[in-house]
Amino acid sequence: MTPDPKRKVTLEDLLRLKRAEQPSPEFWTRFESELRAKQLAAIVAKRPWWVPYARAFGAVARHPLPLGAAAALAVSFAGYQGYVRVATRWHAPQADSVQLAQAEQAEPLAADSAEASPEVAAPSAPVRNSGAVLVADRSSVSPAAAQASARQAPSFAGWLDRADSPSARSIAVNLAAAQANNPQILRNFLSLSQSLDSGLVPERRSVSEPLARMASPASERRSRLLADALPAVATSSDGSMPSSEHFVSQISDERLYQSISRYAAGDGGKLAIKVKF
Amino acid sequence: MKVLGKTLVASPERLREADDDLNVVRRVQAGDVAAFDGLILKYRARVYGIIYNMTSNREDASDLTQEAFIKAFQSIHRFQGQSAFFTWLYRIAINSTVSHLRKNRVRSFFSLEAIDQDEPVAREIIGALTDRSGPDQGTLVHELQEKLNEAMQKLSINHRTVVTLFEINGLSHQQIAEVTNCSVGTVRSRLHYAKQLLQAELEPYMRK
Repeated sequence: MTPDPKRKVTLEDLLRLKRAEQPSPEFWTRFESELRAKQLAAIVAKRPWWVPYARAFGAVARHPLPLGAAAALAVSFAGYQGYVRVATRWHAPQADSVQLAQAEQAEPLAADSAEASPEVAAPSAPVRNSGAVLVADRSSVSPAAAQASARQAPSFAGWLDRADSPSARSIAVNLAAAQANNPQILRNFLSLSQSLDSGLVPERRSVSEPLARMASPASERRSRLLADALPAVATSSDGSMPSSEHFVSQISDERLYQSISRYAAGDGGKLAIKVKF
Repeated sequence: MKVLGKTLVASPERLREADDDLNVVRRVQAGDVAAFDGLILKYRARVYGIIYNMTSNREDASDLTQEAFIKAFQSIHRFQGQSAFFTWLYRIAINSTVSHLRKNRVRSFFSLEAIDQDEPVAREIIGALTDRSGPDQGTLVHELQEKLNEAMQKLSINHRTVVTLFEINGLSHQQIAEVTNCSVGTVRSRLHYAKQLLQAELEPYMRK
């Protein structure tokens, strides 16, 4: 092809010249050998430990919205499951109380006749076991204590009726069961709780306002004057108010000033005060 | 596929090529590692051309081309065929090149390949330019090559990438948008702006 001297040379033509910038065939031979070596090195080389984590993080970062929504859903589902589990646990004592009540009813039957049905005997077994221990103590209970505990029995039944929460209901059921099995233990427990209420709890002091405990300027002035005039009275430490102080507290400041007409140190360091009323 | 323009969509040859590449990639993914050599032989010149025209340095271009093929080989199991293999490979090559250029922004010097003057289009253009200016052909070609690469290096990396892919490698706007991960409008805008700059730089070498 012969070049056309009248041909226009545009920018696209000049850029097309760059397509002609090609490496020699020797370059490709060297390129291939180098590439093989690098490829082998890349296969043999041990990857850093963080590469899988970086890839996993990259996969997570690629879909932030769906993964975030899924995480929020999973968290809320787990929270709901936890709530249901806790609620079931709260209701479980009610079922236990029903079983205990059934056991209470079944115990005399089982004691009277050995032909108790297995359905009744099976749930009452733990109660009977505990009852067997308690029965030995029942013989040592005095008739008076038994009567006292019998008087307290309706109150526990009332608690059982009035109990709102499952825990209160289960406590009431347990107290009723303990009262039925061994009134002496319950009486000791109740006396202990009363002693706890009365003796172990520290007595509350009446709290007074700090401003109320502050002395007024008038009383300060009065005490200062009295300290000069009546040192023995001012330094009195006993709780009862002396008659002179009681009397002084009754009069006003002006009258006190007027009443003290003269005071002077006498012989032997004695203080003489003349008060006119 | 709706045809919007000559340069917007891929040619049928490119589409057929993409199908062939996908078959080879499936073989490599299945364990036929030697099949990857065919992809290297097929694309090494194109990938090298892209990187060379972006860096204007043959040694850097050689290293970055090898690095691009190694990266592609290492992560070929993640290629799912949602785009053409060459689009994926070009993206790897361009990303490596861009990070290399950003790292070595200060240090840049030319190491140019010789222009193949036996190539028909090159010979025609060089003949037209020699006839106009009159000096020795070899000197003119050398000077023109340096001016061309200088003008290319004055462009920003994004503009240089678009010009390289469109004018030198012959990709469509759509393919460039896929490779560079931007819109077709952005590709056109960058191309227009880059051509304006190149036109101003290479004005003395153009014949109107």
